Order: sequence, then C-alpha cells, then structure tokens
Amino acid sequence: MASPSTSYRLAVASRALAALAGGYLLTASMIGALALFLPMERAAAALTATMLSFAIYACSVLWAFAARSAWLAWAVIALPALALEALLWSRSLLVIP
Amino acid sequence: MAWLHAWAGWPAGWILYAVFISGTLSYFRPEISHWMRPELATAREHPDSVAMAMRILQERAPDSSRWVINLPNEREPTLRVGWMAATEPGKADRLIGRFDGVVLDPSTGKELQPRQTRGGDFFQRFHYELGLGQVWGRWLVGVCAMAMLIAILSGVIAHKQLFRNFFTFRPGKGQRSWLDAHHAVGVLALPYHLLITYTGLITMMFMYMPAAVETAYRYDPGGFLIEAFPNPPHAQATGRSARLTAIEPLLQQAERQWNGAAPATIVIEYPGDAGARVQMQRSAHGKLTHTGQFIIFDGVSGEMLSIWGEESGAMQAHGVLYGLHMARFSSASLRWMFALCGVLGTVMVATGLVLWSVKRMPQRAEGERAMLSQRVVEILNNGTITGLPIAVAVYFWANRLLPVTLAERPAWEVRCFFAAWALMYVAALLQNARTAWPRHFFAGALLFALLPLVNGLTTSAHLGITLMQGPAIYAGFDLSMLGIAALLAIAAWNTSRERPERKEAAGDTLPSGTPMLEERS
Amino acid sequence: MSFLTFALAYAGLAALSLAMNRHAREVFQRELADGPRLALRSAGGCLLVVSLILTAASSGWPVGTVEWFGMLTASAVACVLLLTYYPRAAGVLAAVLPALAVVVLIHDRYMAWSSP
Repeated sequence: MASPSTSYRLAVASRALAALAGGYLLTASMIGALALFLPMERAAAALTATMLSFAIYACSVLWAFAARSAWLAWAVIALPALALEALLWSRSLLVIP
Repeated sequence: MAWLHAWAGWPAGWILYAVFISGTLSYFRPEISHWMRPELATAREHPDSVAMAMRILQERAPDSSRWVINLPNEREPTLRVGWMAATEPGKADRLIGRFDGVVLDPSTGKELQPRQTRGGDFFQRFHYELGLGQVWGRWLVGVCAMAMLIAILSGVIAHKQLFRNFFTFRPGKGQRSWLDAHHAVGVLALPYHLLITYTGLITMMFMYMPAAVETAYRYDPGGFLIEAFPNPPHAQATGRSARLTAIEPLLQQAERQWNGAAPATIVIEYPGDAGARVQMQRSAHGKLTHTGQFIIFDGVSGEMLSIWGEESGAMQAHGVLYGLHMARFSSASLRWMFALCGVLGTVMVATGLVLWSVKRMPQRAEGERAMLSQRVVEILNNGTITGLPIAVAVYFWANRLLPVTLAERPAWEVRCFFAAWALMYVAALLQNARTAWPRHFFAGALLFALLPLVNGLTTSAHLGITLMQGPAIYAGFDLSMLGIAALLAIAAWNTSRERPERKEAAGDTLPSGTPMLEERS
Repeated sequence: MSFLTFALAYAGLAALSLAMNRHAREVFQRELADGPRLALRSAGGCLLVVSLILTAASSGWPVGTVEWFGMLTASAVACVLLLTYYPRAAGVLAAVLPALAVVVLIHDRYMAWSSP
C-alpha cells in the first residue's frame, strides 16, 4: 500500500481545519444571530441557540468531510460564517448601549 | 464516513473510556459515598427527622443566620444538619462565615463521625474534569464529547446495514467478532449514546459555546443569569426577634403542592428574626427537570409566599436535557437501566479502541516485532481498558485499608487511584500484549471479588450481616463488586483464548489499514 | 416499568428479529414465507407500542418514555445474547415471557381484590 501523497494529506488537513475551526466559527456566528433573531424573550432565545449549537457544529464537521472537495467544504462553511459575522458586527455599529 | 468515524473515535477514545466508566459509576454516587463511610452503616430513616434536626439547631446554633437540613432518604439514610457559624460572637452574616454541621442517625439521634473521604463525589468530578482542573479538564472532556458525537453520527451514516445487522453477533471469528461486538453495543443502545453525549455537552454548554449569550447580552453582561436562572431572593434580617413557626405543617403543605413528592432539603434563613424565611427544595425523584423546585414560606406566619420552578419553554427544555444526563429523577430499576447502557457505552469505546490494534495485527508476520506506533497504541489501550477498572478497585481497597486518622485521607485515596492507573501502563509496557490482557483482566476480577472480603475484615457491615438485615446499600454494593468481578473474569477468559487465524471469504474481513478518506465504499 | 412491559418489549423485539431470514433460520430451521414475516413484523411493532403505552400510563409520558427506551435496550441486549448462544431459547421466551407476565399480573390483581 503506497503511502498517502502530499496532496492527499493537504486535502485532509484542509478539511479538518474547515471542520474544527471553520465549523466552530460558523456555529458561533449562527447562534449569535439566532440569539438575536429568534422570536422569543432574550434569555429564552440565548438558551435555545446555545442548546442547538452542538447540532450545528456536528453538521458542519460532517459536511466538511462529506463534501465532494475541500474547496466546496470551505465555501459552504466560510461564506455563511463571514456573512453572519458581518451582520452581527454591523449591529454593534447601530446599537446604542 | 468510516474514515471520519475511526479518526474521531480513536484519539478521544482513551479519554472517553475514562469518562464512560466514571459516569456509569456516578449513577450510584450516593450509594458509593455511603459504602465508603462505614461509620454510617447503622443509620436508618425515621419519620421524626425534622424535629430532631430542629432540636440540634436550637441547641448548637440559635443565633446563626442560616440553617440547612438535608433530610434522609432511601439512598442517603443519614440526617445532615448544617449551620452558618458565627465568626464574631453574636454576628453571623450569611455572606461571611464558616459552614459547620453534623451527621446524624435519624433512628437514634446519635451523632456519627464518618471517616474523611471523597466517596462517590470523586468519580463524578473525575467524569467531567479527569483530575485536570476546571479549565483544562472540562475543555478536554468537552472536545472528546464533541468527537464522540461526530463518531456516533458518522458511525450511523457509515453503517449501511444498520437494521439488517441489528441482532447479529458472531463470536469467535477474530476481527469480525470485535466489529460485531462494537456494532452490537453501539446500535443496541444508540438512543442512549446519542442522548448521553448531547446532554453531556449541554451540561457545560455555556463554557463551550458562549457566543449566543455573549451576543445577546453584550451590553448587559450579568443579565443572562438573572433572566434565565432566577433564584429565590434571600431573606432580609429585620433585627426584631420573632418565634420561628412550626416546620412540620409546612412540610405537609409542600408535599401537597408537589403531589406527594417529599422535600429533600430545608433552608431556614434568619431563624428567630421577624424576617425569617423557610425554603423547601423538592427531591429530584420523579421529575425530569434538573432545575431546582423551591417553595418559600414566611418563617413566622408559615404562609406560602412563592413557588419557584422553571418558567419559559426554553428553560424547561434545558432543565429536562440536563436532568436526563444526571438521571436523578429515576427510580431504582430505571437507574440500573441507565447503568446497563453506561456499561454498553464503555464496552463500545473499548471494542472501538481494540479494533485499531486488531486491524493491524494480520499485517505483521509471525515473530516480527511490532512497529513502534502499534506498540504505543497497544500499551495505551491495555493500560486504559484494563487499568481503569483496577484503579477503581484500588480506590475502594484504599478506602477500607487506609487508617481513619490519616492526615489528608481523601487525597491519599485519590493518589492510590492514580498510582494504580499509572502502574498499569508500566505493566503493559513490560509484558507481551497477548498475555498482558488476560492477566490484567484477571487481576481486576480478583481485586473486585476480594473487596467484599476486605469489607468484612475491616468493618462490621459485611455481606453476612447485610444480606439478612441490611442496610441494602451495603449488600447491593458488595454484590455489585462480585458482578463486576464476574464481567472482568469473562473478559479475561475471552482474551486468553486463541483466535482462529483462518482465511476469511472476500468481503467478510475488513480491509487492512484505515480506509482512505476519498474511497467511497 | 413492570415485568409485563419488559416482557412485551422483549417479545416485540424477538418477533422483529425472527422476521429476518438470518435469525428465522436459526430458530425455525427454515426461512419463512412473506406472509408470516409480515405478520411477525406487525406483531413486533404492536407489542413495542403497547409496551410504551402501558409504561407511560403508569409513570407518565415524560418519565415513561425514558423508561421504555431503557427497557428496549435491556431487552435488545437479552435478545442478541440469546440469539447468538441459545437461538431456540430466544424464540421460546418470546412466547413464554408475556404469558408468564400476564399470569403474574392476574395473580397480583386477585390478591389485591381478595384482601380487605
């Protein structure tokens, strides 16, 4: 059995990074958004969003390894994460503490 | 997906084995703690516990700001009475002060002096901290729990014939048997594994995933705890003295409110003051949610002031998920079901770890030395899978054999646990793998089987007595030790048999080595 | 949770397992036709549902559901072990256990009814 090639190793590492780090950031931004936009009281929304977080993270990790290519894995994880982060950041510009 | 399952399960596997074993033991935390304090063996429940507790409190701490009564129950038959001791004469503030208390036998009123030990609490804390402290330990367990969740989900997705092979177990076929065993224990208790992993993550969810709370409460940092988990307000001292109301009628009121469920804890704030409050907490039995259920009474008039439980749907959901993990609500038979599932989970992790070694063994020719990485995995597997049960047994042995007056006794018991565990890795290092497994399992079986004997020689609450007169907790514990010994003996017998190394039909054996990620099988 | 509900859960799972060719071969020494297999599957499913309803009736739906899952796991373990080592016994028990449980139930009811 030939040892895995460098490109294979890079692909695996890339997917792992997308899963672990990208997935966590996606989860964080999603639950941040959910906490603000769920139609419940603030505390209930934050609680619900946090309870859902592990399911979101698990889906991200599974996607990162099930996607047809490492690039696709990154795209589906990073783009929504960046969009949501931008949305949440814009809120901090508008909210008057 | 099979690739992901192997790589998610494997590095975290050793940690998860420790988490599963200590978690299963934690289902019986009160029983273990009770057994480890044999001075409490004579305690029996008694209906007049409250009156007894009030008498002690009036004698010992009449000026205290806070009295706490832990009522006896089936699993903890002692009456525990505590109070905030005054740091200056006559002034006991609830915020500063030393908490003092006694343990009583409710049937005789006698004060008991249990030996110093961490009891079952050690296993519970080890379960989510592994002895590594609040930060490192909890994060490590959390990461491994997340890996477990991924392993479960990827395992289900990868196992195409999940239901076709549901009832299949073919022993004695080498590698195939290990896989069958792993499938069997994994699939049979699949709802449990999913539940326990997810709810386990829930218990520490604010530590692992703070983003939701942080975002919603960015401009109001303390607000979340106040809104999501409101606590009953503390009483205020008025400085005027007034007679404390009778407690027994309040007990009955509480029981009526809770449809027959009894209070487990009574807290009296500022007894003897006009602003006194009596707070009763419901026992966990029979109510799924983990959130505490309180009733507050006025301490002078006995009037029911407020009832506290969960409010919003989200709080209820959180309480139930948390409660499902702790399983405090369960009856005895349901608790044994949970423990059975915990054992299945432990076996699932163990067989998964062993599959790693077993898959690589056919690649070696007879007599050829194993690769270093294979040897390291073998040693870690052996030291963890056989070493942890042995460490648990040693912890119980230490509880009976260490002198009662030893300074830092609880710490020494824990040191014995870790020392035994560490030694098992050394033992695995020094031995041939094939003989080490049965020997270690046999040693574990022996240690557990002899525990009731050690108990009999060092205490007066041994099986000869407890089987006839009780307490049932002691009899149950000793018998469980024999049961664990039997399981380990079966494992020893199983690992000592020669595995038939025969040519298997194509498609019957696993492909040697770990499947590559890009293979779509 | 009671002996009856456990027996029903076991019988249900055993029926489902016997509807599979692999296990029918072990117990009946032959494969079953489609008709009996469908009957076994339906019976198995019904027994499981009845077991759930009875458990929920006595312990309430929240705790009852949890108890039911626990019983399923325990009876699944029993079923697998029996099918592996004593397949005939697995099949026999599927009929005997519920019958025994009903007898016990009737006995308990009779004792309660006849005592003052």
